[in-house]
Amino acid sequence: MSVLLWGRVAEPVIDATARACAHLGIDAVAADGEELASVDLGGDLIIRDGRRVHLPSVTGMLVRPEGHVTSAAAIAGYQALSAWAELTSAVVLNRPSAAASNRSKPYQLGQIRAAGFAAPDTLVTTSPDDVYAFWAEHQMIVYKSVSGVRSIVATLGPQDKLRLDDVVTCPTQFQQYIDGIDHRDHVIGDTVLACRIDSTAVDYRYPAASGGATTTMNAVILRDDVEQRCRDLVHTLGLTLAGIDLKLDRHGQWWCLEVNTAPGFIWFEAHTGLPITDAVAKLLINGAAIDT
Amino acid sequence: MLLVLGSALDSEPSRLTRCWRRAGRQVAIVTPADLSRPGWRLRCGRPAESTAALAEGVLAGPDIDGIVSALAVVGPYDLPHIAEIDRAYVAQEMSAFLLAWLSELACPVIDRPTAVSLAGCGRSAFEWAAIADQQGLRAEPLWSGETVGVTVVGGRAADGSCDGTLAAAAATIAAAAGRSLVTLRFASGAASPTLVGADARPEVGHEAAADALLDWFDRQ
Repeated sequence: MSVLLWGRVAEPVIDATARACAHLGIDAVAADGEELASVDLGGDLIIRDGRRVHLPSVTGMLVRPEGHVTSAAAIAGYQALSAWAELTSAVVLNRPSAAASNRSKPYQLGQIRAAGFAAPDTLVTTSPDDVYAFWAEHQMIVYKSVSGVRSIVATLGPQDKLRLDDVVTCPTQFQQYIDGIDHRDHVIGDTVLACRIDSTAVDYRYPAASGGATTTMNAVILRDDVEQRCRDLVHTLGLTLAGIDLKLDRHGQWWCLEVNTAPGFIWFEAHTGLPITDAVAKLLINGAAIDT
Repeated sequence: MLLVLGSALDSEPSRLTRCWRRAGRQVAIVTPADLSRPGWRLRCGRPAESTAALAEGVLAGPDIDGIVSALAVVGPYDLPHIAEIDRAYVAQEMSAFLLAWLSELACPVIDRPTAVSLAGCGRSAFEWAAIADQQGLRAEPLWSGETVGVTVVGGRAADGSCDGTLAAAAATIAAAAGRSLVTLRFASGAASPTLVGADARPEVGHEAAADALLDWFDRQ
């Protein structure tokens, strides 16, 4: 039995998961980029330093590759390991094809709605007139990247009018601002670990961008039906691990803003004490994933 | 109007539009650079409000009769009009927009995009090999020799002149993969059909594929 961590050894999620696996008595193997010497889909993954992982014995794999591959061997290894991640019956957090859903936020919103969550009204456009009409309709709107490229969510203000003509260059995403309390909900297999985030920032991840706003986090237990909707959403997306961004408005309505398919959960764990890494390690070792 | 989505660097989409114009169809080509025109709109959950901005003008979603997607992804090389420092980011934004826009449109799209390919599917050679294996067909995902392409449209090999055994194998694999449009690659000279993989962009520019695609749209 072995656990494979596809990512940089020093990356915080990979590092914490490796230590959690070790605590549970399993030596997880971490490798990334040029370290992948060769991959035989029915046999062994060989790492440049000589370590071997017998792929049929792998119970779970965490996928967070970020290393550049330039050599022919590493490129072939990357492609083969990607294919293995799609085809294996081991637990994969997450299969690359499923994780790709958040490469397009509006595409993912369609799946979020299909799973029964409310989602903010969203416009992607190259027309300044469309933006003005949408702004007038909702009074307060935010803009953010369309793709999975990380961006700081910001409200559109009068100072932005001067650059709204720039949207003709590239489709730009605007979204109804949802006034409510942020929640981050991590789903790990069937386990749901949530926290409430009280922040005066528009984007709680970047309080400095909101003029030194404050952010605090506390672990919470969601209502059973909300928890189940989160599990259903993750299942619908073909995922086994996800960080779901929710907002609870003053009318008690739960809104889903986005699903992070490669969540950097260490930050939330550090602030709340939620045992997310432990749940991830146990899932990788026990191989008890939901059927995707 | 029919739309053909493709890279300006790829000759296949423009060849397809020429074939269709000769057949008397209204058709326009959409390249990544067209996404820098005012008039594109996606209102999530409201497909009737979608619009496309073409060289010919702005086209409302309900006026689009069908789309062929022959573009797997928008690349920085597709955007020479964008400042070099911004090209990679803009390419990702445009790809993300097209994925959602194509997914929401009510008209027929061959093939609907997936999160990993705007031309649908996006499987690796190893995944294609697994599908072939499930169908009892041979596959060599690491094949490095000559290949022959077979384009399947709507369940049939588009080129009627291709080897019958190869055509049947291609149709079987495409059906198993749930693809309406795909160009599969087979090892040249193999004793029996041996799948090597699939093209990232389907070959849509020859007369037979153009005819088969029109037939597919007419049947929708």
